[in-house]
Amino acid sequence: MNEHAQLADDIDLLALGLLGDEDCAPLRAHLEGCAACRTRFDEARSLAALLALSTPLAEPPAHARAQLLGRLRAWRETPEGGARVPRREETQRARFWTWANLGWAVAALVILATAGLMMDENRRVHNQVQSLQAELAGKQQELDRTHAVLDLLHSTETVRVHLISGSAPWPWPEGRVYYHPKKGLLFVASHLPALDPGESYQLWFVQEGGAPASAGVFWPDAKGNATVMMPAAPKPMTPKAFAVTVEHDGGVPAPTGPQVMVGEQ
Amino acid sequence: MSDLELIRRIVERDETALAGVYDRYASLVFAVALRVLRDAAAAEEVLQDIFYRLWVVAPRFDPARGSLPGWLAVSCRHRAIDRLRRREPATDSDAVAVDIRLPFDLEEEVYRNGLAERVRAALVRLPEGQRKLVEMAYFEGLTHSELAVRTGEPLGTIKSRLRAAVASLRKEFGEFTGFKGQQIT
Repeated sequence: MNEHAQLADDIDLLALGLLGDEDCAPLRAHLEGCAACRTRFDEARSLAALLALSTPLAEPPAHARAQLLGRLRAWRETPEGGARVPRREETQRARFWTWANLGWAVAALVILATAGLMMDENRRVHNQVQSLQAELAGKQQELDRTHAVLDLLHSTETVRVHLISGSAPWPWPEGRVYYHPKKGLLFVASHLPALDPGESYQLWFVQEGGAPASAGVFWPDAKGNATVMMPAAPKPMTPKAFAVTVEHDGGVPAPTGPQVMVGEQ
Repeated sequence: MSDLELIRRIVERDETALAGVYDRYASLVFAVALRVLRDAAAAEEVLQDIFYRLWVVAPRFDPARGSLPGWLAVSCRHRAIDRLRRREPATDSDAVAVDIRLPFDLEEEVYRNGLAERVRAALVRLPEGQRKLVEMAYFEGLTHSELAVRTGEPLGTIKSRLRAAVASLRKEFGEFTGFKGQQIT
């Protein structure tokens, strides 16, 4: 086995971020000069991206979007973002003016300064308008989501299921599912016991005569509360019941772990 | 609008384009951050950092060298692990020379979800010892030496399990990542 074949496994581990610093340096040096190993490294990084993509989607809080757009607005005010910084040449050039031309210079400077101020003002107003538009879009999205939840809660076709625990000690974990085939799903749970490392809760659709289907993976907050929101599935389901189990991190295709709560229609 | 077009408009400093990328991929990035950090507030900060970073580095972003969701997901994982381990953000997480080649369209949410299910299923098919090691390593950022300490297993066992797991995943996802299962000679 030659040097490249011996390194191949370590290259995979390096790309996945599994090697310690002490092992990284010689490998990175080798990659600099070896096209074949570099290709393998690039491919392994693609595998790393796939592992990251394996995480079940989780909806961020609605205010995060507006805050991000606020940061962009602040960025625009920095030199990197295009805010005008006085240039040194402008100051030096002023020294060339003689006293005889001072009057003209003052007049010219006043005009230039006014024009500059107007341009700055225009730019500031333009940026402000853009930021407000972006903020408005964020608020609109937040509002849309709130409407979607209200719509789901108020619909007469929404299935409402109360999930309870049969065996857990008090305070008993409980949850409520609001499901509409076309509007999506909202699940709210409380009193969930803390999970061990490497575990997550998983919500399941239980269908009549069919295998349970995952409705999302979640972790409770420090108080044992959790909320799961899901858009409508591409293929509407007709659940007979919902259940929550403890599974290994990231969820599983079919339930295997202990059931925490269950509720039927 | 395609990811490529959104990036082009971000380079032109169009905030609505960044908002468009956010709307498309925020739930993916937040999920990765949440998975690593287990803390919604901390995950939210990482989420904002990643999209802010995209805004700043967009002019140097080379879509030909990697997919946008791949960059977002991997950058997020790096940044979240740095935070988890209270390290300064690694330069790698700021890299704009993206080498994450996912030669398929991830803009379709349904397709993305299908792929995620398949990766999850592949992880579940690994022997439990291998799967736990990969997850601890990937989502907690532990090196193989640290895994040996955490699990109490000899370093050699950790290395061989990880190698076996990576080999299985390579075999499973060669079609996606360009792997051909070739032996480097």
